[in-house]
Amino acid sequence: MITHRFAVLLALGLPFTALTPQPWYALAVIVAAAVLLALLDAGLAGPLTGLRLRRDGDRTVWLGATAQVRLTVANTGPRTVRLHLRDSWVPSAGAGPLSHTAVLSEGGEHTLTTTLTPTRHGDRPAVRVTLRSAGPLGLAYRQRRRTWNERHTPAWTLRVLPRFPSRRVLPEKLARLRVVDGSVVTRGRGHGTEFDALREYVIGDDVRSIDWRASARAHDVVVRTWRPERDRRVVCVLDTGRTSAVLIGDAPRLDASIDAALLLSVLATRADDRVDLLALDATVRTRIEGGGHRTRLPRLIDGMASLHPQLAETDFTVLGQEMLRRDRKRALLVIFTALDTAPMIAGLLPLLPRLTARHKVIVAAVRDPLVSRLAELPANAGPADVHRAAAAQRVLAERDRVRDVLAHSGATVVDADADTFAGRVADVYLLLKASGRL
Amino acid sequence: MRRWLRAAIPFAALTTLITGTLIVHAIEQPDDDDPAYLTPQQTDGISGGTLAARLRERGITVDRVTSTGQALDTIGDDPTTVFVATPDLADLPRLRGLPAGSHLVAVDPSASALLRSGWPAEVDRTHWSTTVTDPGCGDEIATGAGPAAVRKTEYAVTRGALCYHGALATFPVDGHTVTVVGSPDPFRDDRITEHGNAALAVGLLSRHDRVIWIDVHDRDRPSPTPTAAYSPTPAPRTPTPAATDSYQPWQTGPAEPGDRSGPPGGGNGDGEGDGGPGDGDQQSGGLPDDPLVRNLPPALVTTLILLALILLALAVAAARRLGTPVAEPLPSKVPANETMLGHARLYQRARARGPSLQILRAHARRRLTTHLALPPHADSEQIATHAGLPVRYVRDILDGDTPTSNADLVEAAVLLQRLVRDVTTPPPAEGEQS
Repeated sequence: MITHRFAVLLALGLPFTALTPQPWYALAVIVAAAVLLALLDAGLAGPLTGLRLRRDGDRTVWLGATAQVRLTVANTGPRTVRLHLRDSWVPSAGAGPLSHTAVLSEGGEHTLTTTLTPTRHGDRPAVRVTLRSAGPLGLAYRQRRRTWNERHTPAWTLRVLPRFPSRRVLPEKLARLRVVDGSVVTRGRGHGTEFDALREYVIGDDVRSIDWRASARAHDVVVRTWRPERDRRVVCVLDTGRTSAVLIGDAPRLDASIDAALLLSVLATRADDRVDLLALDATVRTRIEGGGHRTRLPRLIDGMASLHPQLAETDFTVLGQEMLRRDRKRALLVIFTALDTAPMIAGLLPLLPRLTARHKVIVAAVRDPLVSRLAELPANAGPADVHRAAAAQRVLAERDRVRDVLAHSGATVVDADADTFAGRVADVYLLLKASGRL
Repeated sequence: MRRWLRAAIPFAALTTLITGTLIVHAIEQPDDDDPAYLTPQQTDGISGGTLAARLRERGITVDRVTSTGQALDTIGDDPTTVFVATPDLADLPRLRGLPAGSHLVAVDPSASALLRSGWPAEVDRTHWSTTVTDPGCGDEIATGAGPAAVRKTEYAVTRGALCYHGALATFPVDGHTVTVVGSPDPFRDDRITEHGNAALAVGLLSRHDRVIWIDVHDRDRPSPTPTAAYSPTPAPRTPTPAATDSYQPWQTGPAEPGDRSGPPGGGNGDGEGDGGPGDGDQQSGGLPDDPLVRNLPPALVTTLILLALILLALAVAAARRLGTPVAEPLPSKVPANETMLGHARLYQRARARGPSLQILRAHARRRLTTHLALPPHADSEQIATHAGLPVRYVRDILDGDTPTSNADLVEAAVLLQRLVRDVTTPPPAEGEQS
């Protein structure tokens, strides 16, 4: 195949056809010479079959961060290869630069770095490396078909972990957890109901926690310390149905739910509780249960990375089948969903009394700040603003009613704006943990 | 599908309109092979019975013949008027041998009929329908007739006279006079009474005592043998046996190509002679007849060819991509609050000021009762008393009338919001007041 230089070569012949007395001969000679040169050039270009590709680099990256994947090209062929290469990824991987150029001498190697700034979480695969070997004159090149290039592309998938903006409140929540845990000396003993250990009395301890029997044995005043219950079960249920596709700000509601679920999972794992994950819409999308304490958190994050909103109605009966099994132990069930009237009344509400009878249920829904803002009249309000405020108030009133009905059925409802949502869910968990109600 | 239809319907309507118009126009045109067309035997629409009757009134003999050969048989030696109603079907070349001083009147001959006849006339332009026009010439018959509906086909002649903007051409041929009329309208029964049609038709056919009316509605031409058609002395008055024969299928095919094959041959030979070296393909591709191409300097032609090749090379170089674009499914995203904003627009469109304000009032009442720790259904008096505000003020805001205009609605809503703010925001501390 020819390059632009071939056209330039032909253009160099323009004065000859215009000025010589035999223009037809001149034309024939110019075209023949250019075609011969191009054929020679294509013949001298290094063969593509001798190229070997391999990749290394980042496998996972947080959304918003930048990853680097290196592509190494080795030339095992008999001739030098002037290589033009394009490393194609899916558009949402944000790969750059678009194409690379390298000259590979016989037996040489070259490493090209592709920088990826993904725009969505989930798996971002590398699709195809297209190779083109140019001739020494740059008049022509060799390039194989797309299927050949796809066959010779080394597979690579970058797992993009979901955005975790509530990471910034994590230290504060962990500090509160440590207070609850009793591992920080604050006002005396740790909260909780489980007996932890005996230690010497220091001034400031609650005198009610002095263990008199032990004091008699030890000839010193000894107090009991307590700690919160451990090994409680927390089940994060992520609703990936159609209501999770609604944009809150500029991200879908599911992203806010994943953020809050991540914060809760990190906290609960630190507090030595077991965290399970269940993502469902019409069917179960992801289920992460069991496994060792160490590996649990990475697996949870990994599981959440592949979740995407589906345009399907969520079937909460699946949740019922899961959670009402006879061998299920009591757990804290955190359902991340939306407080829309119809799906709640038709889906979750009939199930809720049976769920609350066996488990502690939190229904967490992120609120759209736009509704609250529209419910207030702006400074120079017009009739359109008043009608909009009325419509917004109607939505808020409906949501309040749903919240009341859910609370009446025994669930704790967390309904907060996106920026405070994860923190509020974590607070409810810490409160339950501190009061030993898990 | 709907977008496709939206684009297709206007085009379909336009195509139907144009096709329909063409079909209606074609139906409205009289056909040469219709037996009623300009026949002296009937008086009906497209026939010529009225014209024949008027000629007879003036003492002119009208002899109807049904073939060209029959006309030549009956014509005799005296000057006569020959009326060819369907020149496209008649055997015009044979009519060149008319007696000297005769007149031949042909109605709307087509370009091929003129070419076949060898008359010094050709079609200049053709109109969609017949229009009335002034004679615009000094011919006696035309000026006597005045404006007439003849302007449909216009002719150009190398000798002779033109009237009616070329729609009536008169020219001498071999001792007799030929008149071609651009439209059949002046001769038709249904149009003869309009304008000066009758005077023109009668005038054209009454120059002699006798009219031979060639009323042919089938193909009356012999098998076209190119040499015979153009022989300078076409054996007058000796009809070939084939002339009176009716239609024979095997005769029709090569009629027109045969006629045209003569003159262009010379031009073809010239073109090939001029061709430069190495361009045999270019010259034999049909261009050489064009004198513009023949006279271009070869340097310019080769430069243009090379430029075209350069552009082609650029296009080919740009066509092959270094990898095709990659596609991936987009995630589902649903715009927020569509229902809510739709409700708001619906309220506004319906001018539902009452219901809108009612919702806002219910919300305000709920917030006030919650804030003042009152039962949910507390009335305005209780709220006013607990908030320390005048009862009438609170009642006006919470239980006021339904607003009748948009301004009232906005005012009521703003007052409502101010009341809720006043009650629910704690009063500033005393230190801050000073």
